[in-house]
Amino acid sequence: MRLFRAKEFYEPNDIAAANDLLNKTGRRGKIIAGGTSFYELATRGMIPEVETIVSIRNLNLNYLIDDQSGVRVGATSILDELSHHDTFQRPEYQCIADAIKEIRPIQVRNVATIGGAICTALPLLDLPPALLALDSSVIVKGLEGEREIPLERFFLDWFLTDIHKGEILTEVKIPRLPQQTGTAFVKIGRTHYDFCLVNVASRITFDETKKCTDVRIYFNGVGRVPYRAFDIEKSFIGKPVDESTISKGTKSLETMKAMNSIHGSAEYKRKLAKVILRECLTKAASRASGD
Amino acid sequence: MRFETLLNINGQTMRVEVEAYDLLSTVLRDKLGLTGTKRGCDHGGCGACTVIMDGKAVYSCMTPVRYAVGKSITTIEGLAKNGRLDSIQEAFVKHTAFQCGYCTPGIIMASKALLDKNPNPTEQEMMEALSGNLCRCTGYAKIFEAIADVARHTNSSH
Repeated sequence: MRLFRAKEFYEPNDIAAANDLLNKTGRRGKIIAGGTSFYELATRGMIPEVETIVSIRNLNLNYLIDDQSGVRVGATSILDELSHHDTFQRPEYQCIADAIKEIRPIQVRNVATIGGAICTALPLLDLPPALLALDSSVIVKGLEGEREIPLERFFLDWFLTDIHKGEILTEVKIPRLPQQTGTAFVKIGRTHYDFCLVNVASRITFDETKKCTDVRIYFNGVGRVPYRAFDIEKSFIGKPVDESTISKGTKSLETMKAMNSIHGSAEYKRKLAKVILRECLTKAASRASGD
Repeated sequence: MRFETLLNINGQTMRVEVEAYDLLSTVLRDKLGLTGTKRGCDHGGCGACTVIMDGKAVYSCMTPVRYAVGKSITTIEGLAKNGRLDSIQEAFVKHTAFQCGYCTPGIIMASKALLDKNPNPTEQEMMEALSGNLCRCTGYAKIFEAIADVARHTNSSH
């Protein structure tokens, strides 16, 4: 049984032409970059309305610029290449390399792109919490101009983002972060290559006395969009990251809202979340102190 | 939207007429008769359709055929030369690294992509490289033995 048969396949060479195609086709048009999410959904019959495929691989969006203002990554940059990039081996950005290495298998990492990992907006993906922990934002371009959207406000629901009709996500912006910042990402899944049951990304910035001045903690796999653990973040401000603060922080996860799924109940996920948060914070703290 | 295109497969240029929705896996099998590449799940879950595109292992069931234009594609049919099996194929036979054999072409292609890049992989690296290829018969032990054997031979011949 073949559920999916697109009628047209376009590969425009400039962004305006792609915007135009998407505007004309509306719900019947869909963007692909690497194609891994797209064809999985298509083959499973989840996007039967799609008749026109608009590939954005010829828009020259495969780049990484790392300068004083921060890091800018083009939307069609390939995940496997990014995970080996020098920028993401630095302690403050290492959660990105951690997260990409958890995206399996290699056949997917070889073609999947950073833009796709964001726009799919499946709340089980690994890259969104890592990018959120870095306060990233995205640039989307449409025929009326471009918008910069903080990633924090980008995810609206399952498979739903703040991209309007005709718009294309072109770039991911990651700000420069202060000295003594460390980040990490930890995932736990049903099997080695499956989506996560729960994953977590964290960022810690220390002052000279190794007290936290800034903390971010984002989970995926628990809700309809990535979940920011504000209360736990606050509990670390002005304090060191040690056994007592971590135990206190992870304890508050016992009341975290989580969704049940066929692979894990909410209660199970809360328990897993405690384990991976401990590991994640310990790793991020050690990177922030330069250990 | 039907169009004609040239594909470079196993070192040969092939002309083929394809549709907008065609995927590399279906074109290889149904239009070019290269049925060594298998279709399993058709959505990136099993790895039976793995081929090598410009040196990288990819799922041909998730690769629109347009993305293969201008690239160098290697399928399982491209490994044997002059009637002689490739060293990985030899090792799989020697170690009986398969039972039903359905996943084997995909696993050999994923192994080749690994060994071409890293001729001496650790067991962890083999597991990582094959994490996208399901085999429900062997339990992988024989597969890893075969890959390690190829690595040993390659390194001792240098």
